[in-house]
This record gives sequence, C-alpha cells and structure tokens, in this order.
Amino acid sequence: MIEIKNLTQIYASKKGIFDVSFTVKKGEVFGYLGPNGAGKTTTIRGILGQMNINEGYIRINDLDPRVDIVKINKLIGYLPGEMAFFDHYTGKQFLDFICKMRKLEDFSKRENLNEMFELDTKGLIKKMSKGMKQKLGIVAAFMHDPDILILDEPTSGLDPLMQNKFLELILSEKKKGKTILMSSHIFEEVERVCDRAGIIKEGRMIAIEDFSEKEKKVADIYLITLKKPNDKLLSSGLDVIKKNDTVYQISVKDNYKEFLKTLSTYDVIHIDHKKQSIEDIFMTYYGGHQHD
Amino acid sequence: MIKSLFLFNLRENKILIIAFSLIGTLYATVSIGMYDPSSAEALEAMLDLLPEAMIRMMGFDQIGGDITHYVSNYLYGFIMLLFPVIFSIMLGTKLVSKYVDQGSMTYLLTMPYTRRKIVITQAVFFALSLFVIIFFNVLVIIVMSESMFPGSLDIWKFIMLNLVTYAVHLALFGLTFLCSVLFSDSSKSLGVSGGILISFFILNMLSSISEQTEFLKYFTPFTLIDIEHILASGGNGVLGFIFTLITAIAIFIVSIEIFHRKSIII
Repeated sequence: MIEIKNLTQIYASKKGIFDVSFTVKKGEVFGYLGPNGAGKTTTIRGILGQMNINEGYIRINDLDPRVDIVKINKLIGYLPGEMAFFDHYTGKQFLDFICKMRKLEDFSKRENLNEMFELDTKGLIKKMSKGMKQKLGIVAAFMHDPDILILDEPTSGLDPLMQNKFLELILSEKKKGKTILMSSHIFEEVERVCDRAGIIKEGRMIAIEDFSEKEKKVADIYLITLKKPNDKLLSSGLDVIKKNDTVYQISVKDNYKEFLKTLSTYDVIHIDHKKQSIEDIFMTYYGGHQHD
Repeated sequence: MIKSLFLFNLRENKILIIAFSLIGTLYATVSIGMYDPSSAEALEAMLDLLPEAMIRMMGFDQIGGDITHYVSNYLYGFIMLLFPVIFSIMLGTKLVSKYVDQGSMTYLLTMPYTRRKIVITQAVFFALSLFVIIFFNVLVIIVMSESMFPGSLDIWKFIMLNLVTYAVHLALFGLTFLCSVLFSDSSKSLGVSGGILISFFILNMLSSISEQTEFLKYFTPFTLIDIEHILASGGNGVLGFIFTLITAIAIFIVSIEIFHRKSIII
C-alpha cells in the first residue's frame, strides 16, 4: 500500500508539487495522469525515497522510504521514465547485472517476459530503439515478481501491439494482487487498466477519479466526414458540432445504438476517432470550469 | 561493499585503469633504462642546458646521486603527481556525479541496498584502482632496478615514498569524490574538482621555482611528498603517511554521509 499525504516539494525554479495526497490500496492499479512537467516523476522520486521532501508524509506498507529503503526496495519494481544508461551493456548483460544486484535466482519470470515482449537481449543497449529499451526496462521491473510496481510512463515508445501486451500484463498482475502505480499522459490506457486515477496539473492534484463507477463520464469523440454538407445532422438529437463544410464532430457516451442508426441514413465517407488530450478530458469532466 | 556493483565498476572503468597503469609503467621503464651510474655527470651536463627554474619545477634538481634518488626525483616530482591527479578527476566524477546525472544512480538506488553501501562501494573501488596503478609502477621499478643494478635501490625507503604518495593522492581523490557527491551536474563536479586539484599541482610547481615563491608550498598537499626528507630519514615518513591517510578517510566519511542525506534531483 502506498500512502501520500500533503506532499510538497518545491524546486528552486518554484515548480514542484504542492499538497498532493492519494492512496494506492493493496491490489489496486492507480493511474497518475498529467501532462509532461506536471510533477509525476517528482512524486515517484519521493516514493522511491530519493529526495528529502519539504513537507508531507510518504509511507509504503507503513514504511518510510527515506528510512527503510532496503526493505521497501525488496518489494518494489521500478520502471524509469527514460532508460538512458548502461549504454555499452547488452540487454542480457544488463538483466544479469540487475538479477545479481537483487540476488535473484529464479529466472522463469524473466524468460516469460522476454518471450511475451519478443525482446532480443543480444544487442547493445546503446543501439536499441526507444521501444526496445522500454521493453528491457519493463522486464527488469517485473522479473523479480515484486508486490509493488512503480511505473513511470510505461507505454511510452511502445508500438500499439506492445502497448496492448503491456496493459494485459498489468491486468494479470492486478489479478495476483499486486499494487501498481503507473503514471501516464494517455487517458485511454489509464481508463482501461486502472481502478482509479489521480489527475495532476501544474503540481496540484485536481481530481481523483474512480473508474469502477458504472457510468461512463468521458465521451468518445468521432469526426464524421460526409460526402456533401448536410446540416440536418445537427438536429438529429446527437451531440454534434459542425467542424467545417463536411466534417461533423459527434460525442458518444453510451448511445452508440442511436449513433449508428443515425449515421446509417447519411452518406458517410470517413469516420475518425479523435484521441483526447488530458485538457479535453478536463473540459468534458468539468464543463470547462477552471479548477485550482 | 556490493560485489556486483564493484564488478560493474571494474567493467566500466577497466580501460582507464589499464591505460593509466601502462603509462606509469612505461615511464618508469624508460627512466630506469636511462639510468647509468657512471654517467650521472653526463646527465647533469644535459640538464645544465635547461633553464634552472624549469628543472626545479619538474623536480629534476636532485636527480643526481644513487638510483633511489634518481628514480624518486625523476618520477615523484612530476609524473607520479600529475597522472594520478588526472586519473582521480576522471574516475571520481564518473563514479557518482555522472551516474546521478545520467539517471543510472536513480536506478541503482532502487536496488535493495542502503545509499551508504552503494557509495562506499564506489569509494573502495577508487581507492583500490589507485592502489593498482601505483603498485604496478612500484613493482616495475623494483624489478627493473634489481635486475639491472642489484642491491642498489633502497627498497624500503622507496616503498615508504610510495605509501606517502598514495595517501596524498587518496586525500586528493577524497576531494574529487566530495565534489562528485555534492554536484548532481557532472560537468560542475568535473570543473570544480579539476580546478582544485590542478591548482594544488601548479602551486607545487611554482613553490619550487625560487625562494620568493617557496611559501606557496604551505598551500598544497603535494608538499607532504617530501622526497628528500623521506629518503633521508626513511621511517620518519610513517607519521606523514598516517596523518594523510586519516585525513583521506575523514574526507571519505564526510562524502558518504552527504550522499546518504542528499536529495537526488536531476
């Protein structure tokens, strides 16, 4: 279990995190959402016991990371935001080194993960692509089967297929009762695997959302292109905004049946699913109110 | 001490250690090869051609006499001061600051060890690699002079000189290590520690130029490597050695505690 209360850490640049509080319960997957530079990595540094926090309280299984780091590190698997080191090691040498550092003797999970992510560990890390390094980091974080996983933007650099595999891995670890904290700036992946998510902006936690609630709050947004302009669509009862001559934006929550029925009567030539930025989501959540 | 981290360091830095050991031994080989007891006068005549201040700066003014004096002055007045200093600055910056800067320290610190254990491993690794470099140099000099001029090298006094040299370099490395621990920006660490160590080195050279500059010797630890004094009194070097060693250890303890307490923010 990870507990953070009133955590404040201000850098010389006046940036940082301010009065952040949240709890990740045992067996829970908690998403930590926010744009780049919002303070996600700073919070993670605090959890890892690497900084002397200005104010607040951090506990992992009731242990203080600044005091009981050895006990905590035995429980934790950590994936850094960027794997920019151990350059002239091969993937295998790097994993061997981490296994030795952790005194790990059971390599079965490591091998399973290698296979799952189709990881080629023969090459030098220096020459690996960002995605390959990311996969290597994932294997290193999970291979000792830790109870708690701290993952800093785990899907960045992965192709969609591997992102999917990773999210499946998260779900299967969750089933085993692992406690997982994953930061991200992609709402969809967090919504898919997390039980709850904290949304952080400019160092402040602005909301903690519970995804297990039945009602879907965030609409899917589609851009529909018609062959000819037809403004009748605007009065169809759906949530439609005209984008330009032939392009209409439609927000759909759980009314897909109506959405499909309506569209079938129009001359649609293209449908595009619009990925939403976190800012868009804030707007949908809070109707454009400014939250401080 | 963490064995796997120690081996990791060895792997990362073996080329640096081998290179510095080789340069040292190469220099030692050449210097002994050049020694010819009967032609000490010829050497002095050659040195007469150079400006006197320059000879003193290089520590060559006492170069005449027996092989012990010759080797000691030839190597320990300049080369054995400069090479280990460059080695210290390079390795010292790398062992902590560069790893913090790169982000690999953040990663290492998520392994199940205390920060103290990790940073002690780094310090011990340096102390041993410095020892290896000086040890090879001493070994080559002793073996070569014993085979070429059996019995003429005063081995114990020579070893004493090396122990003092090692202790001084260890203390200087302590300063590099301190900078490395203090600065999370490796270029800052390199700049500050390089600046301090090179200044000590230059002060040492300047102090030997003339009587007017002699007072500068009180501002540089290299003065502790007093070749004439150690060779003359032999055993009296022990006190200096112990004093310097204790200073070095104290600097290391301070560095370790700073690292244990600091925020690793990059």
